This record gives sequence, structure tokens and C-alpha cells, in this order.
Amino acid sequence: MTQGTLGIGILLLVAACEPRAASAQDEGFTVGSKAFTESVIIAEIAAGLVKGAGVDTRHRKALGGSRVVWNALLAGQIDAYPEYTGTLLTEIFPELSIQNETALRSTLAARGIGMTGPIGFNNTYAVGMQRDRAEALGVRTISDLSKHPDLRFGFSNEFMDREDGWPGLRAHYRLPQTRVTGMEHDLAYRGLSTGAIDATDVYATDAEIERYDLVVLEDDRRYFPDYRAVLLYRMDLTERCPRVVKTLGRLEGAIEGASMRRLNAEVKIGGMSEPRAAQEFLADRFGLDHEIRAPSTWGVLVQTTRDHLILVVISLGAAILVAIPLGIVAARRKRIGQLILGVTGILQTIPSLALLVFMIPILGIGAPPAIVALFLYSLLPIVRNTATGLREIPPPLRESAEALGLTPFTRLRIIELPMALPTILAGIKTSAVINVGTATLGALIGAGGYGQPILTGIRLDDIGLIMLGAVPAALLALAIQALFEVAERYLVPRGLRR
Amino acid sequence: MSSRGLLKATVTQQDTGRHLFELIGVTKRYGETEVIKPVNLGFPRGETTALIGTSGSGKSTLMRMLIGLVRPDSGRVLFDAIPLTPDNVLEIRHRIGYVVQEGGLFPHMTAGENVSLMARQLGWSGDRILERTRQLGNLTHMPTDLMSRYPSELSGGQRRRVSLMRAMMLEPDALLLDEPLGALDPMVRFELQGDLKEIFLALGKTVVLVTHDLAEAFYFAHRLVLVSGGEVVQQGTAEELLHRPANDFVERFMRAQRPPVVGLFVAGSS
Repeated sequence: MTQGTLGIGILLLVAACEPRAASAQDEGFTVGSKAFTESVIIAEIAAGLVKGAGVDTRHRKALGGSRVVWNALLAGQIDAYPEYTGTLLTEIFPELSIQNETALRSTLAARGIGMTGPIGFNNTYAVGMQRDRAEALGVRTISDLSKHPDLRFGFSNEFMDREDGWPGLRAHYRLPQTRVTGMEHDLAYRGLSTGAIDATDVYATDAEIERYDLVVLEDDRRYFPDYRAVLLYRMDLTERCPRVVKTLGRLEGAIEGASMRRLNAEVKIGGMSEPRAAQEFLADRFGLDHEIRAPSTWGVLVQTTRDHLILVVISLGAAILVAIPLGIVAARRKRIGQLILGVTGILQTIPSLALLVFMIPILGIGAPPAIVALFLYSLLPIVRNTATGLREIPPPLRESAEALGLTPFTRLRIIELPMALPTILAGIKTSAVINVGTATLGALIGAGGYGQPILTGIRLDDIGLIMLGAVPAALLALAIQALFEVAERYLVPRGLRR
Repeated sequence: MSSRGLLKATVTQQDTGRHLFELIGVTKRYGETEVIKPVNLGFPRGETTALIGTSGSGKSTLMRMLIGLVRPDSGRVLFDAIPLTPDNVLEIRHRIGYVVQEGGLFPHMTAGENVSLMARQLGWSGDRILERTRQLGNLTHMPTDLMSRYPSELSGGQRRRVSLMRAMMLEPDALLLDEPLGALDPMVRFELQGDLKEIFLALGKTVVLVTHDLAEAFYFAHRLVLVSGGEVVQQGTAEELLHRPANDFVERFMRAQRPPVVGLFVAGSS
């Protein structure tokens, strides 16, 4: 249950992503995005632009973290996605210590990946101040801060601790301020507006910069590393669909920091959908008028229910077929039984997210890796209960069956398994409930299901959207519970009912 | 009261050997424990033999060997002069009825399903099964209209009768019973023991029963086999064991267990 609850709790995703891991290699162009608003918006813009060029396009939204989306690109499940140069250096190729753009490009090219020029904005760490306060003090750059040693700074705890955060910044600019405290990021924004602090660390394109009317101080001595937004794409696109590469090029320099901040604010604060925000930007910047279809609540429900059931039914069905024989072996052979229970037990302890991510290099993104992960999670309760149910059959009954002259297989079929059935069903029921909950995590790797609205709702802080996934997931768990109770009534003979 | 000559079939079978079951030099050990030291033992056809002894003496193990539930480490088990092997053990089991302690009915099957289980497996016709069930119901005084009940819906005595019916369904040559009257209340026990004795006499089959209750052994058996420490200490009629004990242990065992009225029930005396 823990995993189930956790699954429903943590997960999120976007309503329109296809659950099947259809390869992006067929017709058309597939763009992916990471699981945060800015990435989804840029990908949405890229998709709109390519679609405007007459190419069949789809967007697999909010697939997961950098690694997940990068691997999906390498595997060809998506053709392109928005990335940041700093992320490439520090997260994707941390061991390579790449020094410049040329080196980065050739590193990528060696892997069959191309990179567009910078899209425009640089989403790095920055220092933000209330606009009126900054203007009153005449502060425009970080260097200007040194003229005002009395300013109070409130930085996020992470920024305070990181070597490349406040300690490095202070040394680099020789900042004299001493009234510096660590605090929650949200509190820091509020502190700025109440005047409790004068400056805080921000990401350069945070929606809050608009919301609180902050200015981002220029990093005039270039302390912060570049996190320039670019689009990564598969080089085989150049041959397969040269139009796409050309079209993506149009995004170079097209989205300035201010535009990106406004787009983020429209979605995260204004409650606009990403496609709508992207559509407005495209109309504005490129004069593109494309229509977007907003899925209805009912449509989302039907789609996510279908996706979720596919995940649960296939993985649970396969688990039953494999786990019952394993349980039978475990009940008969002590040594092998310990091994089987040990291995399935270890599988159970692998964190869901880790397991999902392990699957990606092998199975890509979408439903297949999620189904395999759910299958592995579903094994233990069924194996254990099958073995326990069989072992708990009283020895005199087992002996009676043997003494009648029944073959071992017949004994198993008509005596032992039917007697163990209530226990086995209880195991399947446990697996099913865990499975329904954990399947919401599938949305993290593009498998769809109830996790999608949950993840999107968490990302956009939209309780309604979270409920749209969480409530059906809970109802489905209850329905499955009820289904098993009915099944027990029909399957378990009267003589065994308690 | 002798059962000899009760069935003509028994007479012809006797030509192939006096014993239906024979244990020849069988041994068994579980880990370090020697459960059965070399034992040679025959079970005469058509007679009731009681294996008696304290718990842990090995008497149940010896009975389980007869039907292949326990395989001896060495020595041979013969049934009707045929050595038991993994290949023939299933067939041989069809010729032996076995009732475990407390009956061993399968809780997920009705009484009728329990009784007819093996016959159905062997493809008997419905009519034949019905007819045989009726016969057995008469024999065991078990009303056949209770056959649709599950074991949990029957009384303790009824369950024993159903177990007995199940064991006799295929008209076996022999019946093996492990503590057939154990854990029953006295009234039921009294009734059932009378019926059981009647059945044994009516069938004239070879019967082996395991009991720790000497009165029960005296009541049913022609011959007693006293087992202790995995060995046969003495075998013979009740009188022989009572009056000519082979050693101290036999004497103490017989005296310790002997109820005052035992003499009235002695069976199999010639």
C-alpha cells in the first residue's frame, strides 16, 4: 500500500501523452519535454512551429527528468527536446569536462545528436531585487551591489550551501554584505515584497520574477555558468525530414528571458494551459495561427482510465501467470524457494522511480517499461501467498491425497491449489491494489494513466487536476477490491469459506 | 470369530503367499535419528493386525511404508508379492484404502465428492458411482442424503464414516487405519467401534490399524505387533502378549495400558 499511496501522491503528468512507445522513427516528428512547465512550453512552441511547416507532429509531454528524456532521444523515441547547456555539461556529460561550445557540439555529434543555436534566454542562477528598490538604489548589475554593504540578502538554503552559490558569488564579486540568511525560496519572495530582505537568488526565468515585479541583476563579471536553452535533435532528422531541422532553427534567438518569464507566469500563475500559452506566443512572434484542441475532462478521464487499465491488466495478468508457478516451486523446494522469495523480495525494495528509469535504456519510454516494472512489483505478494497457501495445507490432508493414488499433478490441481486458493487470491488482491497505485508513477515515463493529471496538477498547483487522477485511482483500487470479493464468492468452495 | 475362509477370494490368494503385505529388512532414518531399525514383518491376508506402541515408536512409519508414503532407506516392501516401486505405487495405492488420523477429508469437496473422487478420476460411470456409494452408505450406516454436505457441516462421527467410505470406494484388498477412533467423544466412539468391527468382519479384508490404545487393539485385531524404538518387540495374539511377554518392556507396556475389562473384548482368539 505504501508504494501505491506514494505513487498517487508523488506522480504527475500531462493529459495528452500517448501511452504506446511507438517509435519516433516512423512518419512525422515527435518532440519530448521534461517534467516542468518551461520545458513543456518550449516543446509546445517547437511542435506548433513544425506543425505550421506542414509536418505531422506530436508532443510527448513531461516525460521525466533530464536523464529520462535524454535517453529517449538517444533511443529514437523522440526526435528533439529542449535542453540547457549547463545541464548538458553538469548532468549529461559530467565526466567529460567540456570547455566550449565546439567541444560540446562534437560530443553530441558523436552520439548522433545535433544542437540548435541558443533559443534566447539563459535560465541560470541569478540575483533578483524588487524593481522599485533596485531603481531607487541605482542597482543594475551584481557589481553595483558592492556599493551598498547594508543590504540584506535572503538566499535559498541550497544556494547558501553550494560552492558555486553564495560563497563563490561573494568571493567573485567581493561583496561586503554580512546580513545574509538562508530561507525557504517562497519565503524569500515574500520577504522581498515586504522589504524584509533586499535580494535573493532566482532562476532567471522564474514566473515569480513577473509576479513580484523583480529585476534580474546583470551578471556583469560572468560568474554564473550558462544555462542557455537550446533544442537537441537527432541528426538523422536532417535526412529524414530536413524541413524540421530548418524550422527548429527559426527558434534561435526567438525567446528572450522576458518572454520566457511571461510564458511561465501565464501558465504557473495565470492558470493558462501550456498549449494555449504557446499558441499565443506563436501567433505573436511568428504570425502562426494554429488551433489547439483542449481535451475535455471527460475525454481525459476516458483516456487515462484506458491507459491505466492497460498498465494494470497486462502487468498483473502476466504476474499471476508467472508468480503462481514460482510459488508452487517455492513451496516444494526449500532452497530454490528461498532464492525465489529473496529475488522477488529484492525487486520489491527497488524504489519505483529507479526501477522505471532502469527500464528506459532497455525498453524506452511509454507503457512497455512501466508494464515490466509493475509486473516485477506484482510478483512477490502472489509468489509468497501461493507458497504459504500450499505449505499450510495440513500434512494429513496432503497424505490422504497421496494415499488415494492421485498423481502429483492431479493432487496439485484438484486438492492443493483449490485449498490454497483463498490465500492465493488474497495475494493477487494485494498485488492488484499496489499495482493500481504504483501505475500512477508510469506517467513519469510517458506511460499515461491516472498519474498524468496528478503530475500535471502538482506541477501547476491545480488541485482539480490532481483530483482528476487521484480520485479515479482510488476508486479503481476499491473496485478491484470489490471484484476480488465477488470472485472469491464464486471461486472458493463453501467448505473453505470462513 | 475367525475370519479365515470368510471370502473365497482370500482362499485363492493365499496360494500365492500367506501375507498380503510384507516388510523385508526395511530401515529408515531421518538425519541422525534411526526411526526404523531393520524390520521384517508380514501381515496375514484377511486378518486384522494392530500396530501398537508408544508415540514415536515407529508404528505409524511402518504403516506408511506399506502404502509407499514413506520409502525405506533399505529393504523391500511387498504388496501381494509385488515389490513397491515408484512406477507401480500409484496402481497399488488404488488397491489399498487408507484413513489418516481424524479422517483427512478434503474441506473443499462435499462428502460425496470426497467419496467418489478416485472413482471419477478413474472414469467410473455415474451410475456405478451412485450404486457403490449407496452400498457403502449402508455398510457404514451413513445416510446418503448427507453426501451433499461439506465436511465442516458433518459431525465428527459422520466424518469418520465418510472417510471410511472414501477409503473403500475402489473395493480395495486392504484397509489401513491410523488411530481410527482417536479424538472422538465416548458415545460416538462406542457406536463407531461396533460398526467398524462389523465392517471388518463383513468384508474379511486385510486390515492394518495403528493405535496407542490397547483396548482398541484387543477389540479389533487378530494379531498385535508391539513396536518400540523402531523395532518389533513382540508379535502374536493378545493372549500371547499378555501371558507370555517376550521381555520386561512388553510386560510393562501391557500392564500399564490394560484396562480392567479388556479381557471381555479380546478378538481373534482361537
